[in-house]
Amino acid sequence: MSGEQRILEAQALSKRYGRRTWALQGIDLAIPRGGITALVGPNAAGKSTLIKTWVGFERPTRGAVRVSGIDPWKDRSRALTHVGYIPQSPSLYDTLSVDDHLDLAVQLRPAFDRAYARDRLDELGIPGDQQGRSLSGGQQAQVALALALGTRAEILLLDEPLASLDPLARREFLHLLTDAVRADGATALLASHIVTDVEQACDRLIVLGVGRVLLHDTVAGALAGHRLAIDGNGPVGDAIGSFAGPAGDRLTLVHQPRSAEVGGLRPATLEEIVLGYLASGRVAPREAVA
Amino acid sequence: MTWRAWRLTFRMQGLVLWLLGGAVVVLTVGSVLVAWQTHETRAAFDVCLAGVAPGSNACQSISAPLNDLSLWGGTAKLAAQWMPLILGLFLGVPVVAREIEGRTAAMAWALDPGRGRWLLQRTLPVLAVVLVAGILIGIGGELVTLAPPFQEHPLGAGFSDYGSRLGQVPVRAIAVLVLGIAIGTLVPRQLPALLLTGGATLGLFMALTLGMGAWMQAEAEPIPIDHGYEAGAHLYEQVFQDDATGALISTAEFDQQQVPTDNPEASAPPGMTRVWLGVPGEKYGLWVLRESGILLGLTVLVGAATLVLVRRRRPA
Repeated sequence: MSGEQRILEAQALSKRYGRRTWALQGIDLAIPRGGITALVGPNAAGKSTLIKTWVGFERPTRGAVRVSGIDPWKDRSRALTHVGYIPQSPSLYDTLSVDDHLDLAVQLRPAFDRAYARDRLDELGIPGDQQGRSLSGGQQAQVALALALGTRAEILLLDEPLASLDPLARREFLHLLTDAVRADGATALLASHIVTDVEQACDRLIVLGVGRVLLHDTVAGALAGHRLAIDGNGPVGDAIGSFAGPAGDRLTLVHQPRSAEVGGLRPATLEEIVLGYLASGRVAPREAVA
Repeated sequence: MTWRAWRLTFRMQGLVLWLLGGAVVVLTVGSVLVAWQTHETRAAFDVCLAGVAPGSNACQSISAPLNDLSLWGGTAKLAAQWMPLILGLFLGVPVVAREIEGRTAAMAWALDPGRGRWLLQRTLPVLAVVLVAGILIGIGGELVTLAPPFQEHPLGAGFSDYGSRLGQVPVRAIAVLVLGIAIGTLVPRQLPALLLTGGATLGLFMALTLGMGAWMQAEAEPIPIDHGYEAGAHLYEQVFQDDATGALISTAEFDQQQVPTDNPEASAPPGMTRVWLGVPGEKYGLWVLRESGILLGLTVLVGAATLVLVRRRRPA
């Protein structure tokens, strides 16, 4: 991957809160330009912290991050011109209407494309005169996405915007996001712990567990490179992690190309791949980076 | 800043802005009415007094409303002293604290790369409102001071009703506003920030009162007695002044020396004159400028610190 292609980078990134709590530990990541990357992990995996370091809201304790080649902590103003961001559980101003929020965005970022954002909201049927406090959680997330898209930034950092949405709202949100990313050639990083939703929308997958990158691959590559052993049947030499299946059986994720003819293994779904890696990360120490 | 940005900021302030704006209007209109009525009633009282024999009770029906107006005037002046602090407190603290507490700061700060424009857009309209409100309250206070029901100001109001007049009210309101914004940035929870700002405001004005008091006392000068001159002065004590040397002797020192005087209330021993020690009323403007300078200087410093703080802090 050439330097030109890497639009989001983290090098040996560690972030500590207080004296002992490490949210991120030695993260090395390079996300290429274009497409949607899912950042998946359980609560407290460090997803928000990682995104906030790219937005310039958190200062790395060690290591470095770059956004389009810019260090967002040292030059946040310049870095943020490349970024559209949706915070976790986005909140709107209670007393402002949806159109007021678009006006506000224009005031704060003169290059904001109000008409584009308004069109996205029209597609979703969200009226401009509706007050922030009267919008549902899903509508608030849609407005937040429209605000992020209206920046026409080349990078979209979306911090668990799907968490509070019902399935239909999640579907609409992802549809809007994928359409916009494909049309603009933007790069989106979508943090979530709902694997089934991101599977349809994302090109790449990063699994983060206890502050470490457990997997970073394309979705297709991840699906092609992993298989599942049930109750220890089959070769489990390359076992990644084991977890309980829906029927109470023991599922073990193994490195094994799907093309290989190996008895006792079945293809793994993306959710099973994520679960296998999360199971492998469960034993990692939470404190004290070497 | 466009008018649209102003409108959005006003809408964000919501009910608090309307409530405080209403209170300011009520106080200002009330002060103007009290001043006007006092002026009219006093004029009628003076005409009445001129037409009756000394000692007559004929004007009592006019003096009773003057007493009421005096009470209302006192209330208006007290409100004018406290209102700028309340305005600054309740409009200043939420500017940043509410955005962080309500989690709207993350969205706004990601949209404004520098955060400076964001802070300016939030602060300027509120600052303008507080400035206008302070000027209105100050004008009301000034009118009430200039319409005393009983006491005359033959040489101008001077230091009368210090703190409730046009010279001090707007500057004090702006100082508390910026202090509230700063503390709301440091402690981004509205209730704790309100309490802290209230405490800090009281501390600031206690320090200011003590400091300015000491400074004024250090620059106090002799003021002649019984010429109406002392009416608007800021007075400390009566002292004796040596006519030949101009040296001042306090009454305590004078008593210790046991120099006999026939009438200690109104006269002085030969070669000495009893005078007030204080700051003459005509220096009121100078002292208001000094206080304003101190407060505005602090305001600029606190404002600059707030900008740095806003640029560096996490949005939640």
